[in-house]
Amino acid sequence: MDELDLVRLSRPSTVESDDERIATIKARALPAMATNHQRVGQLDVGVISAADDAAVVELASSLMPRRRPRARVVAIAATIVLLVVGGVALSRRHPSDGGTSPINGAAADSSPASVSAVPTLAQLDGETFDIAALTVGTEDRTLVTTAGRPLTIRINGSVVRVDTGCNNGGGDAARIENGHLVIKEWSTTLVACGGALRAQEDAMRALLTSKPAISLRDDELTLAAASSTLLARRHSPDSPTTSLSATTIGPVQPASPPPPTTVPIDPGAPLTVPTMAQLEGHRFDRPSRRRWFRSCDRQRHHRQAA
Amino acid sequence: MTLSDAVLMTASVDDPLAFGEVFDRYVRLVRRYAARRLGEDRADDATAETFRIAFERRATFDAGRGDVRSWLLGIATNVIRNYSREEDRRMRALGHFDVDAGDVGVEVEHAFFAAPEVGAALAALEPGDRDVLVLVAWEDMTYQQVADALDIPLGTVRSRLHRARQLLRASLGAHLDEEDVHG
Repeated sequence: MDELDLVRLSRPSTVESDDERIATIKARALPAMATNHQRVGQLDVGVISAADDAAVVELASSLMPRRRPRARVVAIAATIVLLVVGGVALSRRHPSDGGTSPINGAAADSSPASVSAVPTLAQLDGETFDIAALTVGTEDRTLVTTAGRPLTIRINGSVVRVDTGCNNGGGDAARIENGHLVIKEWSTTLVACGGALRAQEDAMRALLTSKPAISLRDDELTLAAASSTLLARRHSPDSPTTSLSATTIGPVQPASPPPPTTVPIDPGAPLTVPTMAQLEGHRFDRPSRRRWFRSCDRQRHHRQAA
Repeated sequence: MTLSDAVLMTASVDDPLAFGEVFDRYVRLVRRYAARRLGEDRADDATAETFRIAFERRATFDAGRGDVRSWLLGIATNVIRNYSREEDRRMRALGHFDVDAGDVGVEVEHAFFAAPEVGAALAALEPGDRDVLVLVAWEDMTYQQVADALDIPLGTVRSRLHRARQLLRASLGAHLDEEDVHG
């Protein structure tokens, strides 16, 4: 017996793994495959949920660049050609995009020129979309808003915030799964509102919390649930939100107020307690928290210097 | 008809679920290997990590450069390197565990008593030398399979094994002499 035999004979014994332990290892190593496995032919084909399916597809697509069978290359090339053709056709078809009847137009438009794609949250990160239309059932709802306040959908990372015209609602752990926007744990401000505003908010919340299908075509974001659809357009600083009200805001919208005037703070001015009469008719915009603290610091500094 | 490992690996590139079959075929083997080197406590971690990496790199598997078993044990060996402290402890404690030998008799009994020294000697080896020795002695791999697993030339396998055996002979001399008495 030589030293190799001695090592071979000294091989430590191990505990044979039971099925439960193996399943645990599989869940950790291959989470997308660890649920409800069935034997189909000679392959281990899992009965997987939509979430698992998405994870598998994501894992598979992450490996795509390494090895591309001919069929996949052909499919990618065909997709690129379709996108280019679609893009050209769209650019010819939407020179100004007047925005009338946007949802029904989009839904009925099944020509090859319509190239909608499911965006990723990363693509939408930092974007604000102005809500342009809301359809519930077959009814195009007239959008209602309060003075100067646009109805928007804002996306920051996985945070989706929606201004429904009455309250701000949204979720902090949004994701896009299989083409559907999933907003978890919807939260909202609790401003009391009634009538059309309330109905509008209810409709928007119902739509957004029902995992609507999400698609992006050019600057148009569409969210479609079973019985309602919402269309929003990418907000650009050049296009004021009032253009939205021209086609969609109903008669309850009050006239736009005059723009607020900004009064610079005079740090040297003495602080006095105003009377109600002095304040009457004035409007005060709340400064940002940082500006407010800065002005407080400045005033304190001047007081101390004096 | 059972699909070969190579076919499954190729299929798994486009159909990730095919990798599930590869997992089922080799998970126990990989875990046994990890348990021998790291102990039961760390074996599950190392096995899961091995298959996670294998799944991510399945497109790089080349059947012309070795079989799936060698490929997986190669990945496992690299993973185990990350647990070098645990492995050293495990090796030094080898005498406290039962040894696993196919035969019974004087040699097994001898190996059992020699296990602490064997463990200490294995712990003292360079990691690369120990990998080769363990794959040959415990996993019954051929030199070529070890070369494939560790992605090193065949000559390097031979030289590492030679060096490891020399060191072991120096450490276990007394036990090897004792074998002569038994023999």
